[in-house]
Amino acid sequence: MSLQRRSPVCHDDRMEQGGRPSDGGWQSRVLTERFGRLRVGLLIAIASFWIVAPNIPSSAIRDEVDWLWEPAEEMGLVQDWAVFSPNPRSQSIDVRARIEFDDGSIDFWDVPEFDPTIGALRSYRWHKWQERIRLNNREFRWPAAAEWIAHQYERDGRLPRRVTMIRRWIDHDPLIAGAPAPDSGWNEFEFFVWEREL
Amino acid sequence: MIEDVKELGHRLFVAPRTAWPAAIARVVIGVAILLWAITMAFDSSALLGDDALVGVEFASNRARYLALDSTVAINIALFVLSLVAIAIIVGWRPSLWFLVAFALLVAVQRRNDMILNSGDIILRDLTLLLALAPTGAAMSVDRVRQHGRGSFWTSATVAPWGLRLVQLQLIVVYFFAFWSKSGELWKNGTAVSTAFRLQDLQRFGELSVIVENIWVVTFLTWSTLVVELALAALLWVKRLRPYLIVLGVVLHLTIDALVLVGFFGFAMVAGLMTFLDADRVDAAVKRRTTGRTDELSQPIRSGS
Repeated sequence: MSLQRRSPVCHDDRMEQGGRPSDGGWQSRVLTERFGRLRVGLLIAIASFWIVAPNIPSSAIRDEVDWLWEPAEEMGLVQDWAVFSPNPRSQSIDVRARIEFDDGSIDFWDVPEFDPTIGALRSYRWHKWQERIRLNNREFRWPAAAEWIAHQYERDGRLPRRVTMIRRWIDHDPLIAGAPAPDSGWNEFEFFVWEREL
Repeated sequence: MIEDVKELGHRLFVAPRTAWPAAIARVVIGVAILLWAITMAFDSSALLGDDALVGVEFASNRARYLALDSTVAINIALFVLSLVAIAIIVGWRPSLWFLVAFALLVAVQRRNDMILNSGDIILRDLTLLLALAPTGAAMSVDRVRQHGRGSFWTSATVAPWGLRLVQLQLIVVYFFAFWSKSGELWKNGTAVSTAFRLQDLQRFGELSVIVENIWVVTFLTWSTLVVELALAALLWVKRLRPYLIVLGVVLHLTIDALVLVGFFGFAMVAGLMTFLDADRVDAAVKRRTTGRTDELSQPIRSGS
């Protein structure tokens, strides 16, 4: 007695005459008609343009034609690959909040930290938030953020009276041969104060 | 001349080959989407809910597909996204589910664009583009449903035009990542030291050897540029491709191990899988499955 198993289907067995793709789903079937090939050609041309063109460096001409890839960006196909460029930023950054209560006590809120393995896939989102919220051009978002932080500290009838948003940073100068990495200590600046309406 | 162009076009976009690279990319990106949804769910209330750190009024003005303006709606969307990711991983109608995953990713991400990085963007771009590739033509439930259980480790021959768009996207990312690094720190070879000293981006803390040893720092800085340029320019060269894929994977694993980049490395590695040599993968799979079939075909001796 022997155990027999059906032989796996080999792709070569399914190859049709003339080197046409076999069994490859709609992506292959669509190529069997002339109109289908035309549609695929058009799709490749438009998608390729939408992938490449938005990356072209800024210029007067580029600004004139950026409406051409506006539909892609609206749809969600976005291009922006300037990572650590033109230089890595030269500051470590942190945002924290000082919470003052009616009874005079003080607490601090910091962006949550998670374990560096799986938790790192959560941490980066909070770090992105602090990277952006600290900027002056996000001023319109500060009151809502401070209010949210105050809300997190409302417990047992204890209400925050004031939340002070603080940006903190370390300056990193470029490395010099033969010297330790030139970093400043933490600097602080209070950039927004929220007070509870009485 | 016209015939040559036609021949090139046929070879690039139509000439059939096995679907292993697309299928492997499908599985990797599916796992990335699943992890993305699960990790997002832990912070859905704080970052995306109706009483979140960034309020609903600050949601993106761009198309959101679904107005996910409450914690319940967000959690349902993330749950559905997880199920969709599983369907993608196992290869059940992946093209359809890639489109659904793309719409859900955009809807969730545009609810709060303050927390996005390049990894989130490339994840959704590749999700959309993989919908155009025949990712279910190998190693998939679809394949098993069509041809029976023995066909899981087999591949159809497919037209690669959809995969070319994924490959183009990868090359564009590498090229413009290289191109945009025009600053003084990249030129003088110290950029990696500065990048790895950013405390808010460190994953496991600071490694002094890669931030203070000028020789190591310079080597890492310039080799990053060389690898990015090589991946942008030479991935089409068949002879060099295996080495470049390995270099690319090493680059992303290194960055991932040291820096909080979210899903960037994961998505890029998925994209790199589309450059695998379809014939080589097919031969390797056949060697393994033939060996296994032979093993199973051996007569079972009584008393053994």
